[in-house]
Amino acid sequence: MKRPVLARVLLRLYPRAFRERYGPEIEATWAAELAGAGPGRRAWIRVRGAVDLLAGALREWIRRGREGGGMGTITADLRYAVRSLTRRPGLTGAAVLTLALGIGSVTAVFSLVNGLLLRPLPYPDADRLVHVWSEHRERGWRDLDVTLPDAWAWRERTDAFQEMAAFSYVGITDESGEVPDRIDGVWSTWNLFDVLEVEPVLGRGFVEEDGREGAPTVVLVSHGYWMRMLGGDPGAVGRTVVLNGRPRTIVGVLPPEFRFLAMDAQVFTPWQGNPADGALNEHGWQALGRLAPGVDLATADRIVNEVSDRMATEHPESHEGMTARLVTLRREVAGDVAPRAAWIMLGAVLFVLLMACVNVANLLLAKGADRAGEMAVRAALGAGRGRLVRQLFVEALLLAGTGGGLGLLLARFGRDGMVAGLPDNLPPVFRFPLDLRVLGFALVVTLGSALVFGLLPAFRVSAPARALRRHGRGGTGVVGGGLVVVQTALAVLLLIGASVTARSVVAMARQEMGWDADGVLTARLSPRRDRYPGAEEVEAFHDAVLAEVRALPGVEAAGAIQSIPLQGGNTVGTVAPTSGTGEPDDWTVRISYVSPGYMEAMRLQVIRGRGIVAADGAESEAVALVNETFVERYLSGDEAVGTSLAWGRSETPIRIVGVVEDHIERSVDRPVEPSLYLPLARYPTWTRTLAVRSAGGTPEALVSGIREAVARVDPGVAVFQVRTMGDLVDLRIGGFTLIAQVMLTFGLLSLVLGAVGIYGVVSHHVARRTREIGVRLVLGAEPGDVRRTVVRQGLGRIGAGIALGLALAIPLAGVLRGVVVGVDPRSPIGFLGAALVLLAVGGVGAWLPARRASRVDPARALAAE
Amino acid sequence: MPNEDALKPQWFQILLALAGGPLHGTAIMEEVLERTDGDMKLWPATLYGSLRDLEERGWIRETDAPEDAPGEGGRRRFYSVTDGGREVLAAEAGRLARYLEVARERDVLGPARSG
Repeated sequence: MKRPVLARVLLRLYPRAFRERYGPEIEATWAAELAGAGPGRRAWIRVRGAVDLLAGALREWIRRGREGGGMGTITADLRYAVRSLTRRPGLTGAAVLTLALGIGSVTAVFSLVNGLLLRPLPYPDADRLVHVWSEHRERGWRDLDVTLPDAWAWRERTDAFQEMAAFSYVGITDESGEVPDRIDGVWSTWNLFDVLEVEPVLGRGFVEEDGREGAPTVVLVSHGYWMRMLGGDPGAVGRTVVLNGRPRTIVGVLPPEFRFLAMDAQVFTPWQGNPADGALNEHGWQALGRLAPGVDLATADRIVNEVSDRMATEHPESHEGMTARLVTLRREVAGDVAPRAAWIMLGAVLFVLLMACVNVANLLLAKGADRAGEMAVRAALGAGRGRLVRQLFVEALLLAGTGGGLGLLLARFGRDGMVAGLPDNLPPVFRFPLDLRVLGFALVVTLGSALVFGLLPAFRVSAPARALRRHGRGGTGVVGGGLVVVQTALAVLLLIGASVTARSVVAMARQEMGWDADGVLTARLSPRRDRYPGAEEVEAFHDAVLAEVRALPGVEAAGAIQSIPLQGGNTVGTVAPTSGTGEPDDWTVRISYVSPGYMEAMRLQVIRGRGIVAADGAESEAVALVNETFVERYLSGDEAVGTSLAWGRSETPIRIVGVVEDHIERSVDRPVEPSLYLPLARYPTWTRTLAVRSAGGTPEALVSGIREAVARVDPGVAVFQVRTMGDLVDLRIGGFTLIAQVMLTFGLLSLVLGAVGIYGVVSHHVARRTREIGVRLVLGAEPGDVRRTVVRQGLGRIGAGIALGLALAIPLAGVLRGVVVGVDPRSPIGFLGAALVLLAVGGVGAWLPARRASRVDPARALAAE
Repeated sequence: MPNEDALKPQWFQILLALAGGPLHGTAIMEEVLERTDGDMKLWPATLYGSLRDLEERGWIRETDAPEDAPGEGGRRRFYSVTDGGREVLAAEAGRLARYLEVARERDVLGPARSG
């Protein structure tokens, strides 16, 4: 059986008596564990086993201390370590600072990983909460909201869930205050809080009766709403608020720490009626379930899909081909990109820490060479090698501990900085405290660092051969050189990572959106249905608003759309050509409803045919625009204008009258989809977003004018989400910007650490060869030759490091694929750039000491001996 | 003050494992893992630290390998429980049994399950 190296190394930390008696046994057990395990499991065994061995070693020493004798030497070691470290304040300070930077950065990034991925969501037994999506694989519909009857069938017809509810985010106009306010709300089946297992702090939660048709209308309010709108009135339960024109009685106030998933919802209202009788084709609900005890995700997924199959048989017209997909609530809320980005940042920062450790190891080696005499004396006085190693390792632990403590302080600032940089659309359920898990992680990292930077120098410095030979040569040469290679390689990797993410953000921000964000102000309007019950009334309202806005001074163009690009609120449907040969295909398209003037306000070119005009109304011919991708994908380049489409919501065929240029709609990191644009006048939506282009290029100046224009038409309509298009773009790119900033910081840090490391090794090398250089100069060598020899040696190692780094970068760049957009992580330019930067920085690091070498005064160098 | 000699959970499990006959470290670890349904994983340093503690208290002792023991590529230390260890184990098991009795009387366990 192979002897496990890691276990053997760690066992050296134990008192000899224990090691001799139990060491082989522990190694054998360790090996037996590893023998039967797969690769992932093996890694875990090594990490967990190492923690076990470290903790055990600590236990053994404390135990020996209690029994007398041993503890005395430990305290002596500590006292000695403090003295030794304070005697070299410059060196100690440099080491502690380097470690603090490394450990602090790692801890700060880990607090992000912890908040996003490890901390449970703030609900009881949150890991049993799941989200259910509908899918239609044939049509390529993924992550489709579910219908109420679906959610209720999963609740009633399976035992997979302890409880299952459906909810929907809704915008709510709150007329309880002086001016109408627009707030986020949640509309749900009555049992939503039974799924979350959250109880109100005041009043009661929803009961089944609240969900009956015709029951009194009630509302649960958030703690924030209660404080802000009701002044924290302890008698708030029973008071009435007016939401979307409807009076509702407050039945309860939710706990202060409660946040609902993706939005900071203020009010919660129950849906009334029997959910099983809800619309079968209204995919407007999110299904949230709590798994029954003993049921796992895969089992629940299977059971839910059995019910979906039955639904498809019972309602083929709406459910044919529909399946369901379960994901854990955490994955659903965290999304895809954020977790991957967090892991990548953690990986990058671990490289930074490794570089910091290598630097400190370097320092200790250099110092160790100077301490050869001290070691020799102590050995002569009877200290065994184990004693010397332990002494040096205690020094390392002390350094790491101090660095770690300082690092925690830095981590706080780093965490605050990163959290401030997180995008505003990150779900409010996530918190990033420096909790026990983060502190524990920092402790492990600190101990791990001490092992990495402390053990090698400890063994080398205490080596008997070195201790006996004063001013031995060779010394740090090979090891120090190896460290330079490792460090250069790490720096190459970090620089490539930093440049790839930074270029990706620039590409995203600069990409051809299609529309021109500069000078555009957007604002959302939501007239109430009770005031504007019919399509004609609401269309007349929006028409009047647009007319008022267009008449404002400084407005170049204005139009409306149901949701502006990047705002969310994406609608997808299917259309089919009415003419043509063979089977009518279902074409999946993104659907937008626009008013005349919208394309002009966004500066979108209609490249063929015409745009939507005022004459395209409810009574005229049904017309639509499509985008270029639609034409390429579905019409294979045929003449689009004139083609007729069948669509479920239209009784007559819809004729394509124009083609608009491709532009970004859903997301900055997604490709353009085939799109269809229909006139709002024919398919009016109540809530719309205005796009207003200012003539002067300062859209902010239009804000008050627009508010007044809306108030002139109807003062009871809330104007909300007022922001420039540029702000919206920044908001969407925000998360990616944070990644790029963090990676750039790490890249720069790696350059500094790399330069310092190279400088340290080379200058130490030069210092130790002063005598030899002196002899050479006496024998007639030119200072230039000396300089060149030193620089050449340094550059050789840097070159080897660059080669190693580039070789490792090829597989690692693949990892970045998932989070970067618009750039190839393996582009040779990034690789070449990183190599050149390091060669330059490393060259300076080697040249400075080389210059010193060439100025050695031979007489003094020889006299020093 | 924690009692130095209070029977730690892992000690109890190790004694219980050895009550069935002499075992070496890996086998003890595996038996405990299996019996506790994976809840108690005795990592090597913890395991041998505990074995040393038990040996010091005279509750277990090193013993010759049973004749039918597999070689496992090297000689391993086998342990068996001593008379003193059996007494301690019996006392602890008795204590637990008394609690179980009370739990039964109070219907904590629910109706008896079959299988």
